[in-house]
Amino acid sequence: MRQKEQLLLKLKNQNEQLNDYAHLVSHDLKSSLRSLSALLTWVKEDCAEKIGEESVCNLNLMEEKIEKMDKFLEDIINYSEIGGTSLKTNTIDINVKVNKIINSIDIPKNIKVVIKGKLPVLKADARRLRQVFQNLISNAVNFNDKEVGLVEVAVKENEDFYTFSIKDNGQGIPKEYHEKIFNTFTTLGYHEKSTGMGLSIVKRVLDLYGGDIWLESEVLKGTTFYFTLPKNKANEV
Amino acid sequence: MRKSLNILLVEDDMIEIMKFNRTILKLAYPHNIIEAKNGEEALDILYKNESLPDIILLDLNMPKINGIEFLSIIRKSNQLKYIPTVILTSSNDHKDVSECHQLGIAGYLVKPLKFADYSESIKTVLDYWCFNEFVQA
Repeated sequence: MRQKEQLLLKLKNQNEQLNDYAHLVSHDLKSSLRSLSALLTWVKEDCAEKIGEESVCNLNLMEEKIEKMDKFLEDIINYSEIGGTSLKTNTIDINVKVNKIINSIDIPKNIKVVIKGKLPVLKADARRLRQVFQNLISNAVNFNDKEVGLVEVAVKENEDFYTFSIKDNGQGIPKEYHEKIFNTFTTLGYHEKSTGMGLSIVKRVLDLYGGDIWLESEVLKGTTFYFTLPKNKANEV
Repeated sequence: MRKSLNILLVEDDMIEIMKFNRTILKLAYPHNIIEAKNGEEALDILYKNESLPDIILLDLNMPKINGIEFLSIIRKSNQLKYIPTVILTSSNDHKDVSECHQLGIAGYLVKPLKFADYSESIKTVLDYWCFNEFVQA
């Protein structure tokens, strides 16, 4: 028993160290990227005529890579933070929250995001819950390939838990990827800006709350992501 | 009335300093910049100089005395605690944000990736402080 406790403590410490490490390294790399990006901009500003069109093109490509790397680091920081800091308990009106998210993300004119029915008010960590909805909704928007895109957010209340759903009419996800997509750095490559971290972040947050996530999908027709949030003393209002 | 500012920039990274100066150069209104490479150097400047800066722009990640240590020192000093201090950092770490706000800051800027966005946010901050009255030391 004693040994078990010690082992647990050791693992806990190591885990914390690892999180700190990921955090520190990512921040250092982020600052370096800021420097690189500024220097690149200046070279373009100062010497565009001297170096010619092709080189400017290459510099632009470099800039895009830097942007993507920055996004990566941001996601790694986000991922490593989950579980590292203790969860807060905020009272959240999910209707308000989801509307806020819809207004904050870039949604092309041909895609509509709607809330079906009334979403509940519950207690959870507002930042973490935002990550869940934001990542699922922006995936549904970004990967949508239809002329008229539709994303629907809904909820079903059960006795012990809520089941939320985010349904899209996008390109669908083949069965063989249904589990894989929750792994870190796994992307199906439909969108050049995706880092493959979004769904891992979602899953990690839900794990903390004892929630589940799964999907139903038909290739070419669309996908519905479902996730559950258990009702308990912690999140009942 | 708009005035030109005495700004103490506490920043250890050479390219960050270049970014700042390049931004200032493009402004129509000149400001006076004093540079310090870390918290220690900044404190030296503050203790030695008879005229204090109007505002301090402070990086958090620095060798020797880091940004948060520096901030807590000046907030405890009767002479220096009035100087508005704006944090300039690449980290939006929640612990840092809340620690800084607790100590008392005049702003918390997370440096954007693109230089154009960075310039824009620096310009906005300085445009605001240009119109302020300061406690003259």
